[in-house]
Amino acid sequence: MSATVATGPALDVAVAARVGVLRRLARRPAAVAAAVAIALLLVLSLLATPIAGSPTAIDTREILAPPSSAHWLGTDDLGRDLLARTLAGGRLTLLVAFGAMAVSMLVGTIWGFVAAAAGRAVDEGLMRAADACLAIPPILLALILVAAFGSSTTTLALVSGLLLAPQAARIARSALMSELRSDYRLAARAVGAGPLRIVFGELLPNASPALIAQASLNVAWAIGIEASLSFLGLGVQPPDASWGTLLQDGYESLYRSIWLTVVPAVAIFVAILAFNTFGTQLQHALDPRQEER
Amino acid sequence: MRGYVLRRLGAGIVLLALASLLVFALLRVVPGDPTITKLGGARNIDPAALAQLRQELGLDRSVVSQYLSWVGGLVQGDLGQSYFSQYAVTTLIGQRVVPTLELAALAFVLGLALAVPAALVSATRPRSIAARAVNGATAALMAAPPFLVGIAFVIVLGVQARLLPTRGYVPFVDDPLENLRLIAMPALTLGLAVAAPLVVLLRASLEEALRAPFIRTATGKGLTHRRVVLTHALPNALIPSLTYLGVTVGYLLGGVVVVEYVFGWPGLGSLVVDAVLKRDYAVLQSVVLLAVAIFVLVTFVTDLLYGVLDPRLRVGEGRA
Amino acid sequence: MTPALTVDGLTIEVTGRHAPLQLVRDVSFQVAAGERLGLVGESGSGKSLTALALMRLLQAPVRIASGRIVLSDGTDLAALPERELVAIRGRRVAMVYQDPLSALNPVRRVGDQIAEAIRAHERISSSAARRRAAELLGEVGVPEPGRRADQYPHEFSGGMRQRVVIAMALSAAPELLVADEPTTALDVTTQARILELLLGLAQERGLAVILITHDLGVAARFCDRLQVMYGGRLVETGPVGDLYRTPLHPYSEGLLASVCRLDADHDAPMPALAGQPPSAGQLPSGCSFHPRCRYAFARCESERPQLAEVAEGRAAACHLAAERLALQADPALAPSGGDR
Repeated sequence: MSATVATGPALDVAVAARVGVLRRLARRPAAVAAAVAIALLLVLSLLATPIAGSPTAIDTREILAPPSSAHWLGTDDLGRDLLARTLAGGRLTLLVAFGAMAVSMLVGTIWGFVAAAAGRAVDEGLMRAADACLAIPPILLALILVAAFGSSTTTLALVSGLLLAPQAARIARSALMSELRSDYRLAARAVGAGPLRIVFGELLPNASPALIAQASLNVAWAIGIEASLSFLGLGVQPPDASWGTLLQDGYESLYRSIWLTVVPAVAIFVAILAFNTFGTQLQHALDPRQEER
Repeated sequence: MRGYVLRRLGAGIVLLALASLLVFALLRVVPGDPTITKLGGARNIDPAALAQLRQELGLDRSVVSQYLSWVGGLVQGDLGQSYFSQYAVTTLIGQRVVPTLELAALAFVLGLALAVPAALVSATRPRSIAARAVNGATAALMAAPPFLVGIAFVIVLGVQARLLPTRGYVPFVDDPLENLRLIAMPALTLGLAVAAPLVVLLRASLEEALRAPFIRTATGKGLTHRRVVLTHALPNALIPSLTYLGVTVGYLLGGVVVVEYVFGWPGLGSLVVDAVLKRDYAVLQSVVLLAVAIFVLVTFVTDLLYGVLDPRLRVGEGRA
Repeated sequence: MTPALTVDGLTIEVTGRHAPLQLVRDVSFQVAAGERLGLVGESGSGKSLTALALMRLLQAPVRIASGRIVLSDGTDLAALPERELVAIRGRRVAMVYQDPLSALNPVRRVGDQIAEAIRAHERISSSAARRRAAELLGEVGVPEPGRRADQYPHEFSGGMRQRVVIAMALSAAPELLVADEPTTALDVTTQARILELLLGLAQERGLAVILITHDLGVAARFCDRLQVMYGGRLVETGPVGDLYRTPLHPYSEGLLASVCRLDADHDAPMPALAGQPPSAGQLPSGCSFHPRCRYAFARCESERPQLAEVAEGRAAACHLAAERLALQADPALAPSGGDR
């Protein structure tokens, strides 16, 4: 009985803290705008074909056409609708980016959590390794990984995920470290919860806002990496199309039509900005010292 | 002081050795043969020719002996033979190093020249229109990968306004004016990419320096606000930013790869992309190691510089 | 003779999301040329803010809401635009700060920092300014001033650093020196030496000094006249000797009692200060001190006493001031005040 009394209020405090973060986030216009943009991007990419038609349908009368009522963003050099291709490309780009994010957060959280929970020597070693990885320019590391593992959509997600894992490990470590020091862990211990239950029942949920913020930043980074590598011809390979490959195609016919370049470039920029803004706004909402801004 | 220098140097060499091992291992861990590309694909290959080529390139030996001969060559300044072309890797790097150095140096200077005034405006007059413009531009540049900024320049200044050529390279000694016209956009692109994170960092350390009590002392002496900022806040804010110099150079080395590709700039960046496409591991591993070496060197120099510029550390080291 | 400084109705407020909050209220006083005035009170009493206001060094969101700060030539500092303050700061009014380590720029040589203060107000070559800086260092008792001028602040001890700050404050020969807790960050023996140095320099140069301190022992040794602040207001002022012998305001009495006095009468009850000083947002009604005052009565809760002169050069903001003066002036009547 006394154990329930001990956990009850402690858990309520933890839940209240999470709700408080959401409320603070909702008060930030930039965060709301970013969340709306992300939702819009996801819906548009998922419903690409129903909205804009087939990305591979060829309209031979309209080759490199400017925007019109039939083709809102014009057509490419084969007469394919650019809007349809951009939305479909977004689906692949976002798929790769979310895959990379999942890989990075999984690897990073385990990495960071082991460092936080294990002894000092392990912690030191793991964090030094993270620092060393962060020291190599990511694009060069990405090039080596792509050279080693080849170019495919799956390896692209894996490679970007591994690149982004060290930063996630740092965030996970510091979030879990501060959780490990807080009171409700003691309360959970008092109820007799096992270590796994503490990790999944208490620590992860309470560290989750910080991890979600990092996940959002990692999606932004992964979009950038995908676009960079595909633009260099080292990422997504034809016939698959992502924003990066669309940009590469468009850049080659830049002097015939700038639309083919501008549209995917804007899509990449907006997507990165949205995920970036959401992540940093969430971080600010989590940090009371930043609240005034 | 000497002990400190040696320790830093030792740490740098260890990092370099680890990086060489990592790069080499990554490129050998995967099955697949780089020589096949050179002989024109997987079909119809003469096994005898393949064996001969593998022997010439030393690919028939064990991985350990390949690594040791690469490192042995490195120490003597011999990076081996390109798998794909008939040139030595040192020759290939030699051809490409000048354009990249020119681009990176100019971008670095441009980045600093843009970042310092921008951070000053943003930190000292946070409510002004100029500060808001700086903050907005910084946020946008932090989000946009460098090649997007480059493409924007190409579209606006090259394709639409037709002010500048969009790609190509002419050595400075051959035609200085054309060289500058060609380097303008890539250098500005890379400079902006370097400037954005610097502005964020400098702004934060300027804000902190401006809150320091010695700023009040300086104002209390009767110095103008401008002098207080330039002679007291800025130097104190720049010293901690020095630690970031290594990261900036790393950023520069990464950015150079894609920006060179966008502008058809024949530097180390495009050499690397080419090497990846052709699976020319001999070139790839050496160029990447060169980048890591530059990074380690810059970090080392930064650490030394930090000790020289901050008098508190100078004495601390002297006593130690 | 015109006073070196006249402060009239100085009110300092902090602005924010809510209504502005007054931190210092309606403070008026004068400092005669060559006079050494002590401004004492607990932390939060508004004495340091008053000091910063005299140099116009308050930083947003804290600002001067109203009042005048008039120098001997009639210049009203409170009304000057920022760009004209440059000619006043350091040259007319200079300041010595509480923590000499953080008051000095850590990455610049002390000689350069002093020379900079000289050159801010005088057109002389940098080498001449540096020579003058070394002379000043010698004057404030820094040994080997020529060599020490080339060193950095962290190479000095706390006392030597404060000497550097004093040299910097004197560099443009100001007529008024504001010393904000100049000895608080120092150890006891160094405190005495710095105080002695300041006293010597003030007498030698005929400087008017405002010493801000919470330490009545320091104030007693240094000042001609004391002003006591409580809750953002002046509550008592008078010559040092009189105020120590017969504190008129119960708060002054409490402050004095909390100083360890070796010559104190150990049989007398010790009227120590109980409770905490009020915060600016929650000043009590009537007299701000009444919740902590052992003499408080009904009127103190409802009516705020004005700072009124009760004797030549002595004023106090207490309903009992006149009565207490009379009582204390006659030692036969009471050892430690009335028993209301």
